[in-house]
Amino acid sequence: MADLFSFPDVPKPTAPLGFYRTPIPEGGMRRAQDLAKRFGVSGDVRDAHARLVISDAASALEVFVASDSLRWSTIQTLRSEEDGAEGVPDEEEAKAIASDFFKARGVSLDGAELHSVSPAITWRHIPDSKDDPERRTVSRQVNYAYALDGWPIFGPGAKVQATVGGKGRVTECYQFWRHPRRDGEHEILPGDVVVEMLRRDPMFDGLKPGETTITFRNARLGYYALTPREYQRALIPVYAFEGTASTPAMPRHDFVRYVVAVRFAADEVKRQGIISHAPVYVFS
Amino acid sequence: MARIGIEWVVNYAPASVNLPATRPQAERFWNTLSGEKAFNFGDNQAWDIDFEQQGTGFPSSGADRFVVELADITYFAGHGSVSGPLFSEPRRDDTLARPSEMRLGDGLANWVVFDACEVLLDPGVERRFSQVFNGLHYVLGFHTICSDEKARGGIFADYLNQGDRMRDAWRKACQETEPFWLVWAYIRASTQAAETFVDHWHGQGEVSADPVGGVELTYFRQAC
Repeated sequence: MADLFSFPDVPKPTAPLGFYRTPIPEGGMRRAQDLAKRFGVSGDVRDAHARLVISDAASALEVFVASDSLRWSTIQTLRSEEDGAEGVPDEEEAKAIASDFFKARGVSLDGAELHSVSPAITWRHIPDSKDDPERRTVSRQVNYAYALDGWPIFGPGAKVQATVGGKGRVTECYQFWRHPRRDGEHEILPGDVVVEMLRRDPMFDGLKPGETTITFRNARLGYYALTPREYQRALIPVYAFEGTASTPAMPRHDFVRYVVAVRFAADEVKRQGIISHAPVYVFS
Repeated sequence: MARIGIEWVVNYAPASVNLPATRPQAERFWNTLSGEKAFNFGDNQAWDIDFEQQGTGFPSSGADRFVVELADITYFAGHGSVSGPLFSEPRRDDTLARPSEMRLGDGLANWVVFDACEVLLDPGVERRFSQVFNGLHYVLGFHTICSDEKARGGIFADYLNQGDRMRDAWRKACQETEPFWLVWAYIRASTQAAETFVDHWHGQGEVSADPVGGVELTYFRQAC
């Protein structure tokens, strides 16, 4: 019978991966007040459950309770997509502006590396018009990615971004991060075990061999950081598999699937308080 | 009280891979957003015709007036592509809610979220969505692929409840749930008398009048 799956070589670490605890930050109120001073936001701290928020007429600062994360923004004061978008700097200028912005506010980017610059695009269009809309770059997002011991950290909870708008003004930034503390090592699961976990993933239940193919490629080892709102007390070692599913009804569906790369028993996850809910071993 | 609807599809096989997180994603939205719960249809109860106008496309079996037009906001979580959101129930229509078959906003519908890959892929979105806005304010979604993840619907609803504008709530929810190499997007309609940029969830701030007659479409996309 035809096999649904094809897999790439799975990277084999030459040494165990570090185990990194990410303690929940304490003193949220103090942290929020200190950051507000550095970002020039005045006002009382408001408890918004997952976040502490300080805002004034010009900007808002959000400090996440469950992680060492923050977001500062003026975007909520804009009156249109093109508001303040005259004179957006080029990519090189945007990188320098972002770096200076973080430095001036004492936001440490230790462990983060500049990754890319992406444009924010807008256009307006009258539906019956035959003309293509004129696309306009209204800001540039300068993106930083985190790594530990050379291993990338995947997921939404480990990234930094600055939005550089018209005249080089920074209109928003965020740092989603948890400060890691090394506490031992993990033995990494061998590639064949990980491949078997993927084969059993319910995502692929019910597909028909012969008419469907699941092609995995570019397997990478690293850590995973959950959304900055989530209580996560250790970084999770994962394999990240890029894949493409092809069926007659949907010829191309690209996805990334993460497989937990260490043997965590459920009771171990509970005892160590790594995450606040039942573990899932293969996830998007 | 404003009305909330959700549709989600977990089980796509054998048409495509399953998406185990779509149900919790949509239901967290449903359970978090303040308002009256209008409908929650999943898997083989979620149909493409729920978003389509009767008499458009082929088969022309659209029934949006019984579903999506009965809610102020509808959140769909499932597969998508430039052809539109994909459903798994083939007995009602062709499983694809094509934008060319949608005319939304002549009932209650103000906002629709397609939490699905590439429904708002640009360029070409201006042609695909040219007929969709019939009083509808916004379609929110993604220019790129997006993750099958559980948190985004609840986070989006949390921001709406706390008074963020529709576009700001979507931006922040996408930032918190995706890597930066994925790109969130929206397309909205406006007129001289109806500036939807200001839209908030009902009861949380300003909401524009329905944009009808001579609408202009505005598109926006940005890295998560």
